[in-house]
Amino acid sequence: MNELIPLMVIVPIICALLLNLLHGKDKISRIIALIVAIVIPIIAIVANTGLHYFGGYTPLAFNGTLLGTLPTALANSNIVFFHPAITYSLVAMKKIFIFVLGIVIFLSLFTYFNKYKKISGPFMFLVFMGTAAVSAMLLTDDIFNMYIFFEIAALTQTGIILASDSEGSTETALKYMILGSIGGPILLLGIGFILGAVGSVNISDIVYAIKTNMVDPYSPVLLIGFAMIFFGWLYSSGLPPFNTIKSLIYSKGTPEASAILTTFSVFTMVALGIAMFRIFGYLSVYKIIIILFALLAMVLGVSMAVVQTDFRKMLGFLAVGELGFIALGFGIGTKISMTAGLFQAFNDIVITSLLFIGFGTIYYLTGTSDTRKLGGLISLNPKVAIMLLFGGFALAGVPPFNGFQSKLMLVQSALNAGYPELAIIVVLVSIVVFMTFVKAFHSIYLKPKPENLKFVHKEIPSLAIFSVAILLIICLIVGIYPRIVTYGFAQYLGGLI
Amino acid sequence: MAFYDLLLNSLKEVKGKIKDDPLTSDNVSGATAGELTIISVTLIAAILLSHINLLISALIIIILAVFLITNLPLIPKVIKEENNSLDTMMFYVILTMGVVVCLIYWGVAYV
Amino acid sequence: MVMDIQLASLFTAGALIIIGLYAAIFLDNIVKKVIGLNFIEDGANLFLIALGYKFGGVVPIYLPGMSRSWFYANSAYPLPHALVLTSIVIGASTLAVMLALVMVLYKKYHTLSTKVILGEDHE
Repeated sequence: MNELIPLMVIVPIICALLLNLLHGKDKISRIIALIVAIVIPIIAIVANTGLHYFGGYTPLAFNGTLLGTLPTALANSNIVFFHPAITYSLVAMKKIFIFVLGIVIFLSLFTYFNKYKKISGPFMFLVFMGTAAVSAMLLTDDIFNMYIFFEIAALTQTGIILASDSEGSTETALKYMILGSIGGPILLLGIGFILGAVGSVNISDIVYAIKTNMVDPYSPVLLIGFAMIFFGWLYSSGLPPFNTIKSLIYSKGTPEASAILTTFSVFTMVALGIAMFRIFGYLSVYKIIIILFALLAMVLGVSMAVVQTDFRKMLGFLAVGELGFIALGFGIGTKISMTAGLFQAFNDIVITSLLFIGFGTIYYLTGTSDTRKLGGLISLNPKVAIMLLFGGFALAGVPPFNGFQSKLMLVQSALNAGYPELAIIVVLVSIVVFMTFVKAFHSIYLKPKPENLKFVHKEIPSLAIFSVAILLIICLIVGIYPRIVTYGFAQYLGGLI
Repeated sequence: MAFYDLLLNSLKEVKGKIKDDPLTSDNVSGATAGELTIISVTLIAAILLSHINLLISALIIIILAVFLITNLPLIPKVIKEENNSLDTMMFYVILTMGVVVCLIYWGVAYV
Repeated sequence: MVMDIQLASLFTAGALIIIGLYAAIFLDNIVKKVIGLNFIEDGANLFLIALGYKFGGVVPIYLPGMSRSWFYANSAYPLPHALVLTSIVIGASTLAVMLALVMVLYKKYHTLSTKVILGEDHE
């Protein structure tokens, strides 16, 4: 039934409002939150693929009765193929992404409930509103609807940073909002330019208008629109010049909040990136500028991560650097490279959530995140240490985990497209990521324990270990059978390219 | 180990030439790796320009190599620019906006 | 009229955006920065509305008794009106959150200077 498609957005919004009202009643809030967090991936699997027209307004060409009442000048033009209302589309690729979004939100909330005695209703509100916003961004076929939910996601991300209440989180939240209030309106201006040129904000209509030459594909209005939408995409995903503020956000949040924030960033990057590819993929300058910013992101992320001594900042920079790989996949522009980019995005969500929750257990135990003061923690809980080591292997691209499969696909696609330099750079950056991770792992777990190391809590919460284990199992399964995931991506892209 | 001491001494010497250096000796391995990453990725990425024009790309690679090697302790400069103050971030944001608009608007005619 | 109304509106939108960008980048007082950011959003909304202008057009409300073809030929474009309504609400919410954060930070630092509050990280 296509009516299930908007439920993926409506159910989290209702849950968010409900949990905000029930702030203070712990037991029932936990039950509702966990039930909804499981229901979201179930709806994603059960819903039929297809289009959902809000209000039932199909394009006029499919609506014979209304078509008959139009004057013939309009009825014979191309405008009858335009969509008059908002359209949501569900394909296998989006199902996979929303499924993994539900899993990550469920595990993060599970860990959060286990750590704190009293939970916060407004924090739950922000998490579920953000979930609804990024699901809508991925599902919608209307670029202005995407902008609205993008702004809602930015506001909820600010709120989640504020709720984390660490040192300097209020200043960081205000910096993020100030930069967002430059990035967001520039994106809106870009959408306005496209509306002025084409006359519609539905992505399928814009693509149709450009393909059938209703507008000049190289008109300056469309080019400036592309520049502004590209700038808004840089803000939402965390590519340079916004990598500093994004990595600052990830390092300031609690571990579960950082896992959720990374997921939201990757989703907005994928949604806006695919929209940009569909509309502007024919421009030759599209590839150049995306590859340029992807390389900048990779280099800056990794070279800042390798000199850090604070593991939360190191993880923040690594998370931002991984986005460079996704952008590289989008930039090369062939079918294999975009499949690799989407696959890398999927893996990025799972692996960075694993690492944030896993390293968060160390912060929970010792109260500090400075690797110079830590050491010898492997004797406390060797299982968590081994799982984190495997998580780091997955990040760097060691077989048999999923990072290996997606980076191999990226390298192969770069070679097939005729850019061997990009393949070399991908391998080089992966090596440095591996080195960073092993250095941090040694500092925290393997080197001798300093005498003045004090423990804040005695034991790691068992549900955190459970969450890390589930995510690691997903990494292993997808690493051994990547076709589960890439089949859906390749099918979607086959229709686009 | 003697080689490591040599490296440490040369880096400390270089450190003396810079005013407020945020690096300490804990980060020597990381700093070296970061330097090598930046230099190698920049030079390999410059080879990509050969798709546009071979002569210009050769010229740019030589200029870049000379520029990078003469300003060798790169990591302290990168760390200084990636601080958390709003003014630095705002500067790079506006600079990038200008570069993106110019590149896209005038780049279409030449590529 | 010296200039067409639509052209004047588009120029005003551009002027608002440039003034807002100037205030957000160069002014030190944090409240002035926030006002500048609000100007940028207002400029973007004005730009969107001005796109829907039609010279000599009527309000796009179909009243009973109008002839359809006359309405199609003469009404202004209604889509930007719907878009801007939502966008104004978002601008208002963002402004409210930013001002609340400014209040909290003022209580902590007792100054409104951006160099002090949002400068280097205080750890």
